[in-house]
Parts: sequence; structure tokens; C-alpha cells
Amino acid sequence: MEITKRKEQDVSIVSVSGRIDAITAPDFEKSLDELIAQGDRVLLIDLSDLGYISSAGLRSILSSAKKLKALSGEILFTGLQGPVEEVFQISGFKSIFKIFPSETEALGSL
Amino acid sequence: MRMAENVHTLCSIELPAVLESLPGFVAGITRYAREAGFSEHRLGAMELAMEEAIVNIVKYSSTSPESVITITCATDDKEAFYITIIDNGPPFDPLKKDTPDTSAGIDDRPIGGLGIFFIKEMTDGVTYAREAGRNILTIKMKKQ
Repeated sequence: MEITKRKEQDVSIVSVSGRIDAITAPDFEKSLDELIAQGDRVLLIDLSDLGYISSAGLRSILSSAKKLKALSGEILFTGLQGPVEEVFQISGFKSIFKIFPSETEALGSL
Repeated sequence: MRMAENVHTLCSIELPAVLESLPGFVAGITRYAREAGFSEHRLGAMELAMEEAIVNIVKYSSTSPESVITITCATDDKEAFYITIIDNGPPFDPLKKDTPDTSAGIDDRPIGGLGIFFIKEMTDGVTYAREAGRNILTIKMKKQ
């Protein structure tokens, strides 16, 4: 798993590639927590290059989303594809999170 | 779910009941499924089901540092693979867990509880048995 972060206006864009499984999920959650701790309130997570996610990854996402919501923030997604999209679909995450076809559209919605 | 009569075992892997064993199990089992002609998409589903089952054992069932998990794979040589995941921890039937409410919003949604649900959704059948002091979870996966 590799994570790259950059800032666009007030939004932190987090691109994650590789795999978020039970082994890497704690590091992913730590990364999101660091952004929340430094004051970021809107995270856009780009999943274009993510090949695999398990329930451990969804757990990390939900945990961070709950923390952010309590702070009036939110997590948005873009780049949903393949097996990752399937997992989002089955788990219902596709309907509880805001998901955008592109980064531009996600930023434009704010 | 019943196994067809002509099912034969292809492999058996035993590793410590720890998260770090995940890649070894996945690589060891999916190798045979790939050879049998499973698509990358089905292999991904198989990997997910195996991860969720192993994570559950590590979390709820393995009790000592010496605990091990044994995974065997078997095939009917036609369309199906049977992956059997065995541990010697205390009785734990993951199939008894409640189905999560996948329509609940962020606030109402409990953290966790999706693992077993994924196993059921991504595979073609799953059974649990407790035999001779061991938990035995068998997952059936069809090629298509």
C-alpha cells in the first residue's frame, strides 16, 4: 500500500494504491487520523489505483468518517473501480458515502 | 452444501494463527485456483473470503502463540473449489453472526461485522462444523 497526499483548496486529496487489507489497514487509518488531527475536515480519497480492499479497510474508513462527521467534516471518494467498487457496493458504502466520477467533480461539489 | 463425491484435495497449508500468515495462505491457495482457470476477478473474491475467515480466527478464536490454522483446497476438477479453514481454538461459529444493516448511515453504522457477510456474498456457499475440538469452515467457490 502506498499513500500520497496533497492539498487542493481546503481539501486533502489522499491517493491510495495497492492493497488495504488487515495488515495495511491500521497504517491507512493512521494516515487519515493524522490529517484530521492537523485540522483537515474534507478528505477526498482517490481509489483509482487500489486493487484490493477488505472489511478491515472499510473499518478504517468508517472509523475516520465517524470522527470527521463529529467535527462537521466528511470523506468523499473518487476513482471507484473493479473489485474495490464491488466491495463498496456489497457493503452499502456506495450509498452512505459521496462518490464522484472525477476529482474535478468532487471539488466542484463543495 | 454438500461436496461432490469426486472431490480431491490439492493442497494443505499450515501456518501460525497470526495476521502475518495471510500472504502465505493466499499465495499458496490461489496458485492452485489460478492453475485451475479461475479469473483474476474470482481469485480476488477468493482472497477476500480467505482474509475475512483468517482475521476472524485470529481475533476470536486463536488462544495461544502456538495456535495454527490449516487451510486445504480441494476441487471437483470441473467447476468448483472447496477451501477448508481449520483452527483448534474455542468453538466459534461465524455464521451465527447477525447480518449487518448495509443501509445504515455513517452515524448508525457499527464499526465491523462485515467480514462474514463478505464471505457469504462473495462465494457460492459456506458451512461451519465443530469436529474433534476444531472449527471447520468450508467455502465453496465456483469458477464463474
